[in-house]
Amino acid sequence: MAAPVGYKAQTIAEQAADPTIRYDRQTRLWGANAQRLLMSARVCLVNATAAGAEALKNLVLPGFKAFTILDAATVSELDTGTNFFVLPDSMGQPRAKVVSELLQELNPLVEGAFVNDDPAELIQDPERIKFFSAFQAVIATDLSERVTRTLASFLAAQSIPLFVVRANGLVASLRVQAPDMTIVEQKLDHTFPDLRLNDPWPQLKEFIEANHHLRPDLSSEEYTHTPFVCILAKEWERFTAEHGTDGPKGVFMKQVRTCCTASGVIDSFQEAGAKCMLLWSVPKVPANVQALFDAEESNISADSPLFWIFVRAMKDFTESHEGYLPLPGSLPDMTTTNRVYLALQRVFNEKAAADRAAMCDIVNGHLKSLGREELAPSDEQLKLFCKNSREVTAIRVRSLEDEYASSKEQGERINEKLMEGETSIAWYLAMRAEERFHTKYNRHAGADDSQVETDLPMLKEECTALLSELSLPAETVPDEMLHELCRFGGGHLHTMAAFIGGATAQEVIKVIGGPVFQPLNNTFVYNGIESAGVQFEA
Amino acid sequence: MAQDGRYAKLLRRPSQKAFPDFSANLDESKEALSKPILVVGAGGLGCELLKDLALVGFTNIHVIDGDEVDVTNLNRQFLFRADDVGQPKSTVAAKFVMKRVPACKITSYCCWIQDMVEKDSNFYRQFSIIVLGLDSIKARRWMNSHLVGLVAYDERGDLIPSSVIPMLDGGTEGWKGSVRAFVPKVAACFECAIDMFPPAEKFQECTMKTNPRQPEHCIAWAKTMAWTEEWPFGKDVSIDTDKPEHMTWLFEKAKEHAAKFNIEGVTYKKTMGVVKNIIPAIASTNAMCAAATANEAFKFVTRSSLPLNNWMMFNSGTGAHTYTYEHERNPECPTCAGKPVSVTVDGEQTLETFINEFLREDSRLMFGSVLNIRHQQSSKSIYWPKFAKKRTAENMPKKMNELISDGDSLLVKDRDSMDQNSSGLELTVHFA
Repeated sequence: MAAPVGYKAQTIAEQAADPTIRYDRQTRLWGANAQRLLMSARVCLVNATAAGAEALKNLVLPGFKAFTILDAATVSELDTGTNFFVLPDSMGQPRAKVVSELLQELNPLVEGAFVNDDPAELIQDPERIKFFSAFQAVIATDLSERVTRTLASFLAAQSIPLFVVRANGLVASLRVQAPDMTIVEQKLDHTFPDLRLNDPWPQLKEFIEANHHLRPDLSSEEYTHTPFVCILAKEWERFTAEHGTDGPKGVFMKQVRTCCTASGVIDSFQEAGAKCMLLWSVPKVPANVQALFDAEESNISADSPLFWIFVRAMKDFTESHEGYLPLPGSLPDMTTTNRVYLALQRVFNEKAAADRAAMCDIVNGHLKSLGREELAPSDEQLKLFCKNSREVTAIRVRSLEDEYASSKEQGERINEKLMEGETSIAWYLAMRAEERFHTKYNRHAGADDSQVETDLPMLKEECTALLSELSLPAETVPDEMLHELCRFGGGHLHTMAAFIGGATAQEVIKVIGGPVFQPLNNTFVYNGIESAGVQFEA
Repeated sequence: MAQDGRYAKLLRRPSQKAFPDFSANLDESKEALSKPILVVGAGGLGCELLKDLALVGFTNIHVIDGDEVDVTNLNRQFLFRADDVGQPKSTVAAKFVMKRVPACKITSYCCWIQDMVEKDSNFYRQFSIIVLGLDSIKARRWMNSHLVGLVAYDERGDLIPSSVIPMLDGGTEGWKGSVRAFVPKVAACFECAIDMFPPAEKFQECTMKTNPRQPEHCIAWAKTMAWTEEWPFGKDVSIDTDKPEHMTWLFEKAKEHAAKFNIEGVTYKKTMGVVKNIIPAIASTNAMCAAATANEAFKFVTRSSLPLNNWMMFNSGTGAHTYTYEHERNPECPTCAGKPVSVTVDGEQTLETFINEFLREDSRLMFGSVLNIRHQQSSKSIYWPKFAKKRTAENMPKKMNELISDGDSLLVKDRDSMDQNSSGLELTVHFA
């Protein structure tokens, strides 16, 4: 029997070095395309603290192309107690060297390097900061507010994503700053696929007529294998004839349930009963797509990225297709016969192909008028876009500079989160205040046992000032929270470093891998007391 | 010691957000951290847990895992290297962490959790906390019911605190993860929330054989039907998912089947996925889950900060989404509510069948090794191999309706105990 493609008689060492085998479990999650992008990306870590090393570990393991650690510290005894990537006898050696070697050792397919230099000095030198231009992502930890902001400004201008990691005792945070991102594959859970049962196109209508449950003289086999799409479409037709399209939904659901009971306990009818929402819960244009249509970028010009050309074309498409987006074409599984299912798949595939062809014409019309090269009808990017027509989205991430401007608008965003019950967001404010304390007094609040109580009023002073700038009431951050920060005293706990390191790596992967899925926009704060987190736009 | 800096501030400084009995004494905390704790699993979560627990100050860790290192583990189970493939995970993991963190002693066991009570029925009593990094619901249920069973009461009927062993349960799948804190008989146990898990997907036979629609149906047909019809590698030779020849046979068979029904999409990769029930797994999700779990262990044992109450879920596919809430105890929980569970069985089955099949397989019960069954109405044990060998041997081939009456109660224990206060599970048995 011939071996399948991909199976060769390899030694263990060969298998371990073969990306399709080594990375099998992760490519099943994010796909081969994202994996290819990761494997060509270089990432820089500034300061190999435990949190930084943990973030990098979770990028080395899945196979980023290369990493460089920039750090001037020497391994201290504290490091040996918190950082997995130092050895007990590494004390006194350059931390950048030691950590990079032990991370490198995790995955021979990755290239590791280090630079034993003071990050603050390098960042504040307008020439030397260009060092970062070589990377596709930068992770920064243990930097002062001023240095972080300088780095952030440079990277924003270079369109390089920055991930700022902070950890103090039992609280930690991650801030993502990235250039505008357009995402084609969000890979959402498909609870509501686009089936258009309430308004079937001619071929689908034909199919429904040929396969529904109300036809006379149905055999028992045919009846029990009526696909739910036909049951729902036909029942909806009967319902709207009597009640119009705005009829009471409860009545429709009852009508379908009656169908179920009459049928006995048949899977396809049960499926229909469970999916009534499909008739009214799938808007022609979802909010994320409408936002793209309304965005400035959809007024395309000669140098517009292809993504926005597609968006504009899709907007035009809806105008000539009764407000509908190109049909994605994916069909969920359903109880029916093999023959009927394949026939239905054909109907969906043909419609999707026809819509894709129409899109291609519109796209090429625009490309031509912009003096650009036209696409082949089989263009893969267009195919992917049309398949994900309902999911395409764009993310704009607010810069660190904007965040630190501490505006009233920011205060309103934070207040909204509080109104939603997200009390963890107060930790964000407490950490911002603590950062100001650090800048002012050049140490962490509560650094020494003797300072825990005496630092509290000073930390509170910083917090009050911050809250006032955000137009938030003084009670927003309880004293208890500030006292707890003083108690933490800038301490490092490995579990918190590992948690936020993992969260950081996830975001780097999602941004570099496409972007794919939904990257964080833009701040995540986790408190290890309640084990609760909050994400929001800072 | 400067290394103490990692936790000294937390452990020396009092706080309103600590357990009420927190002493803010570093030496006491270190003493607590030196008591034995158990990690179950040395795989994706286990590796992370061992690292985290060692670096957060636990110095006496035990780890159980019966599995061996596989090459597809290397993308996330970072304590293993290509040279370790084929070696027992628990041994390799323990060795690696001890080398990095010399202050930490890790004892490894290469076996399964149920096996430990065969050797020593009191094995689990020694641990101050048990941390799970498992990939099976069955194993979790076993551990949970075992720990619930260890909880003892004094003469007044009050809980004996030292018999309560908390269980921390981490689980991951793709971008999603969860951390749950269980305190047996005090708060919700694992079984209280069993309905939260969707049932495992099983395709109907007619779908797989005569009406497949998806490539998965064709692969499942090859695995569950074609194999046992054709026995391609010899009669009764089961599928070994580590043998490429077996997997290739299944792949080709599935492809053939799919071709008959005009179904596209059967690939070798997909075949592996369906047959091995592969769940996509990445390092970062495991890292987050284990870290949060280990954090809970640290807080619980040192009392230095309030615990998770009691379920956190996170999904990194949708930004950085977390959700923490308190899952309440189920007052009808068959494991921890202490109320009899009503079961309906075939009265004609023998006691032997009742024990080996029903008690093991019924999804609410799932007993491991049963040690004693007491018939409440007659106050006699009908099954007690350790202390009533003869009577047990006589009863095994007898039918259930010979031994007891319809509606009678059986108290089933699956650990050895002469202590009347130790709980077992009471069943009210009805005959079908």
